[in-house]
Amino acid sequence: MVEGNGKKIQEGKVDEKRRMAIKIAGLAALLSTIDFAVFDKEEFKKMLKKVGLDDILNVAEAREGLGHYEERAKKKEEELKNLCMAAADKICSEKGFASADCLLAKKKCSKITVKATPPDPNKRYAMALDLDKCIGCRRCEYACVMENNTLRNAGMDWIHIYEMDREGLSDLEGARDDYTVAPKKGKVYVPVACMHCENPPCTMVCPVKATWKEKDGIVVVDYDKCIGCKYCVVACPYGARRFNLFPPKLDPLDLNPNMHILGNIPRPVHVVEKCTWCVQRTRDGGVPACVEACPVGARVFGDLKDPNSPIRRVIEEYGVFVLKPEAGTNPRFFYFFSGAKTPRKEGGGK
Amino acid sequence: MRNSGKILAAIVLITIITSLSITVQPVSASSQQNPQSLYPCSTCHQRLKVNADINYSWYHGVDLRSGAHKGLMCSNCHNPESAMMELRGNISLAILGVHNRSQLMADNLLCAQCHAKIYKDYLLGAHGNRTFDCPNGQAIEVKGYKGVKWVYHICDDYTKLKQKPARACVECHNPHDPTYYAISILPPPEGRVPPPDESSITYGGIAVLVTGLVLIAASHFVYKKEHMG
Repeated sequence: MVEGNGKKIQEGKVDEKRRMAIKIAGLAALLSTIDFAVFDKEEFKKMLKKVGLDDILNVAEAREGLGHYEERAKKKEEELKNLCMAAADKICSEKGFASADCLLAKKKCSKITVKATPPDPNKRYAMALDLDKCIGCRRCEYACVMENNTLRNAGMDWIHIYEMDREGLSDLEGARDDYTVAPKKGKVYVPVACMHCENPPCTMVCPVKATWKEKDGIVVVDYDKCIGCKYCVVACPYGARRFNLFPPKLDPLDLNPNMHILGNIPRPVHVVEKCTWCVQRTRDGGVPACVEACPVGARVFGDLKDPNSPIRRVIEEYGVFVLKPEAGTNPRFFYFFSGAKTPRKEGGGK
Repeated sequence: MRNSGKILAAIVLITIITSLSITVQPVSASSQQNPQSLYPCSTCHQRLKVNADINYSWYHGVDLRSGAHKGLMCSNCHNPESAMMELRGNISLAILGVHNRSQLMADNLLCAQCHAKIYKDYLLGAHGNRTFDCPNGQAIEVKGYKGVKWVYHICDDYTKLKQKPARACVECHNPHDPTYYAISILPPPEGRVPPPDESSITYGGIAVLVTGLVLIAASHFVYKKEHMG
């Protein structure tokens, strides 16, 4: 018994040491699992799974906008026409009343239309982009600036094209948007603008409800309601929103007369703006400016609810994926590889 | 007299040679660039049938020994009358001369024989570029941002836009070299915030680590001093 008791006391001492060792080992194991979850790139690659058609069509109900947009659009139209005519008169007095610039400016000013076309609830827009075709030429960036009356030379352009490694698409760290030679071998060019997410984090954080998702899937901003707090700029995982630091410039020669009150109307100072999928074009039957400008036809735009639309064809034939799926935002901007690669230039990486 | 006759002959020879060289040189140069400009197609093709077994024609400037259509013969597409035509559903394959728009659209079926998947994409609007039009509208081409070409649609009514049908295959792809090559890129727009310098991130990380170690050492030193002395 004594021996037994002694053993028991000894065992007790050993148990305490063991307990500590087990605790430390458990802690280490826990740490290693966290490490694995955070840093393993293979896990990230597994997350880049295909998006099924059922996931896309099973959509959440969109929030409705508030306010009397038609009245406001008419007021804005008159305001803008007067401002534009004043600017056009200035051009005419400088360059002569018969000059081509004067005539173009007056024509554009007379055609200014500010629309407030409501969303069609039977439609659900989406865009897809072929990374095999895209050559990173930036023509969509320039088209976007010109179509949407964006401020020039102020870093306000809504589309950024990132150069990424073809093998490491999930690695967003090495992405650059200031490349000067393209397309290089072993690289893909990923244009990033507003993804028009199904669960947009930017609209959730807005304290004044100045931004919301419309019934046709377009996330819009009401520039008159926006207070410029920039919460949404921080909330967006894709860096798609821009804060307007400068007052608007109204140059009739650079002006696009086709405007929408929630879209490309010249923005006041200190509001947040972003891609609207050219709401002034698409809601009235047109195509976005980037789709029109793309020289290789890499962009596809269409209605998800129409079985014969181009976007449905792409999803069914090629399969698509999205950027940052782990953010849980369910973007409606898809990327895909069609297999028909535009030839790359020599001497670039792998 | 002999000498004068020799000189005269030499002068005549020189004038003939120079005149020949003057007349011959530009013709040979232009014929290498564009031989079709010298003769109309019908002078040869009234009698000459299309050869079935060649894939290279210096005269037409077509070389199918390389490129994406490598392995095809001229007669695969240019084949006016043969039994193959019935097999292909009476699609006119003679693509000679200038075609109008409806003929070009009919020629799409020839491409569709091999590229069925892309042709379906094209029919559904997923292949090729899209643009739109409006009633009584006008497309004004301007030099826009940084001199880049852009087309403004000037319409009376911006609420009735209509998508245009896509262009024919051969309006974008050269059928003898169908690969769509990359065009030059534009510079990045001005005023962007530059991406953070990666070396600054690593140096910042090292600085934080060193400072942390120094702080730990200092606290240890202070602790020891308080307890020992």
